[in-house]
Amino acid sequence: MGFPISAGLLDSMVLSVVDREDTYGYEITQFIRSAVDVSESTLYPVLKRLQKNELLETYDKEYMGRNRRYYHVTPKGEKALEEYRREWKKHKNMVDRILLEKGGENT
Amino acid sequence: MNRLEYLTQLRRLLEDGGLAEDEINDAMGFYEEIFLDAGAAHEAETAANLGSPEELANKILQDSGIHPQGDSVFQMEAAADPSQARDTDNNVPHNGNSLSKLLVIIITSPIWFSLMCAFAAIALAILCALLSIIIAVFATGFSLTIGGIVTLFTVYPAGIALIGAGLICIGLGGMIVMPVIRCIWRGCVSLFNKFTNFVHRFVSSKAVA
Repeated sequence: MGFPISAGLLDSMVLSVVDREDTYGYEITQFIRSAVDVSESTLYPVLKRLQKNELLETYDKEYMGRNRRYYHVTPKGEKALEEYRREWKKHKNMVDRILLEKGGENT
Repeated sequence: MNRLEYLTQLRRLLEDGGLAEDEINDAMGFYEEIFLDAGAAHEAETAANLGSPEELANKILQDSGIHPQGDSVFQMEAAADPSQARDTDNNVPHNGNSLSKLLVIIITSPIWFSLMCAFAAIALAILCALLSIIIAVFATGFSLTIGGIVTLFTVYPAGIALIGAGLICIGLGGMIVMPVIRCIWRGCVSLFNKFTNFVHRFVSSKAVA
């Protein structure tokens, strides 16, 4: 993919993945990597930032004799995700209108 | 490179970079999980995905506001113009820089050595004072208790009172001693860690130069 992924877009994608169900680092990275070409080392700071801003929280769960860190979307994170989704739709419509020469129906 | 080699090297690089202990543990936990969840069969592949331990460590350090080379100006130049920065990196006389630093350390030794001695002496004095207070409190406690037991057979109420006072003293002593010992222990451990870190960094920087 030739389009660079912005930090805000990564934040919202990670939030959306965790919003489906609580999940752990590796699964998040695999999920994101199935859509865009980013490395685990790019996603670690994203997760840290989301935790710091209290959009995600973590808890440890035992898995095969070791601890696995699970991520969970906070109420604040839910709100942020809603806002991100609204923003994305708007952004996508605007770009589509020009790039795909579509009429913007719901702007 | 397998998981253990990769993670060991990463931890050492983060420690050398001066990252806070809990941040190191956080990052190590994350990347260890990535390795484990990717599976033992894919360790080399995972390592390749992450880049070299040096690259990853530099990235983590930069994300937490530490510039691995210890030179923020250089980092900004590198960001502005990568090709030019690579050239200057090769030309920077690391050797002369560390030599002059060493010279300064040696020349100023009469000042910092005596200062260090003075600080050590003060620390020792405070330690001794604390120790003597603690010993005094305990001694009072024990002698009162023993005296109380002896008096118990002659003047019963006075004996009880003495034993009570003695036990209070011992209890107080214990309350002072436990946190003080804990503090001293922690202080010693962190001081030792800092010292070994410093020596390690110094030695490795000399080795590079």
